[in-house]
Amino acid sequence: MDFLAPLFLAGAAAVALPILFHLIRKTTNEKTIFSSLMFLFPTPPKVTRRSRLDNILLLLLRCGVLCLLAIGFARPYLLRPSAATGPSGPGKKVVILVDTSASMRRDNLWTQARERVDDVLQRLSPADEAALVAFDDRATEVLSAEEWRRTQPAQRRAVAIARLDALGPTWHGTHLGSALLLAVESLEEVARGDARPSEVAKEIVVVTDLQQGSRLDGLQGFEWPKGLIVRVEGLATKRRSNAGIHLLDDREDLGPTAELNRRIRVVNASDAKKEQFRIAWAGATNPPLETYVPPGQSRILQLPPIEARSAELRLTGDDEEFDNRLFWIGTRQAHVNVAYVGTEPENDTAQPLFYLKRGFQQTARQDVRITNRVDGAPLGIVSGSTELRPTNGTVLVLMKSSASAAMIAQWLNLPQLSCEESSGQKYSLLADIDFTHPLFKPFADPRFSDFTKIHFWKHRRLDEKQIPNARVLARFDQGDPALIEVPVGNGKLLILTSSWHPADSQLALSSKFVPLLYSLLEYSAHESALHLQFEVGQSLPAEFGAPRETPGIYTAGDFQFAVNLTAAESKTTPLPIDELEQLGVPVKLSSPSLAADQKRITQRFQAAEAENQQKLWRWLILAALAFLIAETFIAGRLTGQASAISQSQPEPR
Amino acid sequence: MRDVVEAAGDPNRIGTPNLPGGFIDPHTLMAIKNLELRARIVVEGFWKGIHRSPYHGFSVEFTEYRQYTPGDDPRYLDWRLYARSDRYYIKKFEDETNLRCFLLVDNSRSMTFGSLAWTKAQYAHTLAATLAYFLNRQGDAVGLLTFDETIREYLPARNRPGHLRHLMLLLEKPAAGAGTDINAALSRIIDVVRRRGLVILISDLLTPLQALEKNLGALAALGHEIVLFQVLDPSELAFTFDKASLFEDVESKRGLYIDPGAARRDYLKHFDAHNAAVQTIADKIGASYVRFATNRPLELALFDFLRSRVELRKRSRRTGGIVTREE
Repeated sequence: MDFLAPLFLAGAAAVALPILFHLIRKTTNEKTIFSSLMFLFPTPPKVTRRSRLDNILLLLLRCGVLCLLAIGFARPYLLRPSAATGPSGPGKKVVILVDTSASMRRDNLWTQARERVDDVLQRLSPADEAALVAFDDRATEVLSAEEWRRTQPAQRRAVAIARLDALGPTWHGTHLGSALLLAVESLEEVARGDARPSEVAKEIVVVTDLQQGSRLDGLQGFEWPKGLIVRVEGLATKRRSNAGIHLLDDREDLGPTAELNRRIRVVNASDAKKEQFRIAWAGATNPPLETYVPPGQSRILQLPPIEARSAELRLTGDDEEFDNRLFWIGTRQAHVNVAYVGTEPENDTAQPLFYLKRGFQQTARQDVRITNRVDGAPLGIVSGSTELRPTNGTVLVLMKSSASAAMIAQWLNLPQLSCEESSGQKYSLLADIDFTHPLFKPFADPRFSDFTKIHFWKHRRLDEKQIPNARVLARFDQGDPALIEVPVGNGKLLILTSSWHPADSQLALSSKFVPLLYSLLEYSAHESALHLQFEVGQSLPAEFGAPRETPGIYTAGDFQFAVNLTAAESKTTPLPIDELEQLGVPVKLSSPSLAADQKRITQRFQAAEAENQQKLWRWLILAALAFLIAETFIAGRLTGQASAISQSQPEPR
Repeated sequence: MRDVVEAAGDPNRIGTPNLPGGFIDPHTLMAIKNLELRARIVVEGFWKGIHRSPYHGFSVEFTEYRQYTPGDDPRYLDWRLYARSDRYYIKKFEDETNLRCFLLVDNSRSMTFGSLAWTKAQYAHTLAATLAYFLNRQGDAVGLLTFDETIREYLPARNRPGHLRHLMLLLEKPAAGAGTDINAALSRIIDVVRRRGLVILISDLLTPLQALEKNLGALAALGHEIVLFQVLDPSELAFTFDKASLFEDVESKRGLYIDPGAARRDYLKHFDAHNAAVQTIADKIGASYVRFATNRPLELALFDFLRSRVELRKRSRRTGGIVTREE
């Protein structure tokens, strides 16, 4: 016989109480009033001189009740040898997710991860089917389930470990959410091949440091398949202090004189032990910048002064090195010329130029100048019928009148281009806008895609079919093209069949005007507007080539750009497992000690099950009740006899 | 008769004493509600008794006639006797017949204890009333002071109509105090009564005795005669309990678990030592100390009282008026 709650057996010690009470003479609650206690001193309770017990049977019954209750509360059970100790039924499907993000570079986490994967593989039975997936901000299959099946059972572990050894921590961030979803998908797919997919046990083992910087998006609201469990093999390091350094994005509202890319954020992990850090340019002789960041907080600092255009900033004072470098590229204000070809005076509010000049405001990043010089201007805007042929850049033609059609026909080498003024309606609205086009892409979000407040009083009806390779980017509600794009040589010709000056439309006065102008400038491949700071693995502009895998300063053509670690990776404090549970992840925590206790937990579960089935405590309680009834009966009889004797005796005087 | 008195007066006797004929059974006496009536019955019985007793002629103040000799103060000549007998007699000690007596009665809560049908307080009040009645009947002035942890009632010594009645009323007030402070009462008497007199302290004396000697000594030094009546319950005297229980102090309400079988020896030892200390103090200051149980007839208390007076007088005569300790 075994007990589920053996501590309750200690209650059996209460048996000593009735015996003790029986032996101690101090059983009276009587009180005697006396005039003065000045001649009296307390007498200790004295064990009776009579060592014999009066009613052995009663005493035994009372002790028996206490013992039975204690044993009942201890929940006894008889453990039968389990029949199902060996492997039975189909093996389980396991996906082992190994975190290879940059934060795994800390201390000996990667070694721990390798050992933990080895442990997990060791625990698998030959019938089990496993896949090994490495993940950082994307998931990579290291050993597929198909390969696992093909490999001899004896070889599987060695193969998996060999594949894992070929890997190592990357410099990428952590996207645990997408890795989990991918693992679920792959498990579902594997299980689908089974005869009874619903009966297959599925398990995802995540070997990770489970840092707070892990992205968990995608898990919210996800419906987890039944029978699937996620076991988190948490890795931990004793070195807790980690601070990271990151460049802050520029604010667009900075004044035209503000310096760009000068602000950094120093983040300290919430369980850090250190708070004092130093920041200095690599190789610089200047004294380092001292900063104090309490655990769990961040501090924004101005970069130390430096002459160079690009440099490496280093943080010292914490335990972990991996996120202590920041690669920096200084960005200066770019001067952009936009050519405007027209004859209007600058301050004529009835003409497009007036609004164009005010549309492009000077910012810290860009200084757009409207000139009438066409050379070197990436964007040209033609108002009226002036000669300007697009060669490399982009030219926007504002058709203020139908006379512009002749000029366009000439540029495009068309014999003729018929065009007429629109008529009939009081105004037209933009409809059928191609939001997939880069020009309108910033407006694709439903919050910004409403162009119906802009009234076009006049426009020119131009049939796009007359122009080969023409693409209509927007139409008026009558169906007439509003904006047509025509490729010309290496450049592009955009034809707006109306204009933004008040006589033609409300466009210049609408909130869409300025974003549209900047979108046009971006579209005209204005290179100086490019960002030069990227994160590891982030997709780069075409001219910069493939995403970079390591932080550093890279050169592509005339440009230098910096690639840094993602900021979230510095948040190395362990994520509470509850957060995963709150997201609905069917999670089971596993740590070295827990793994060691696994067997004990299983045994305890079996014991609880056996106890629940046998319910021996009920019989014990019944026996205790029977004892109580017997005790009451006997005690009643004894009391009756005693009172009969006392009544029969005369009252002593 | 002397034997009878001594046998009845043995304070260590337990239970109702084997009373000789003529004494009133305390059970009967204490059943009488009226305190004054109780006192009168005791005193009347006492008078009847002393008419047949060898103590005939005992009085608080014995008046002596002496033949006049030249040099005596003619103011003390008894002219009435001269008228009857044609002889000059000096009426000696006449002024002493107007004795001033103070009864100091302990009204503390410890006096409310009693294992008989009456408490120590009731017995003490009856005793005080008896003495007051007796003295009043002799024409002496009687005063009263009741106390517990502080002075409760004070009545100056007088001998005027209604005074005895007033005194009886004060004595009928139940004991209500908590602690006992005999010294406060004695200090008060020292302050108030400057003239020589008789001070009778009626108490169980179950209180620390540190300052008692000093105050009693001060009283004696003022020329007062002092009589200590220690009233005790028979169960206090012999500790007649047999069941172990929680003993609660009637004054402090403190509780102690006591097994009487084990505690009796110690109790009696300490109790006797305490009483011996009281006796020592009384001897030292020349006071009479009479201890008796509440089951003792009250007439015997009067006998004790008078006997103690006689002894005091003898002593004072022997020592020329200075009371010394009798070895």
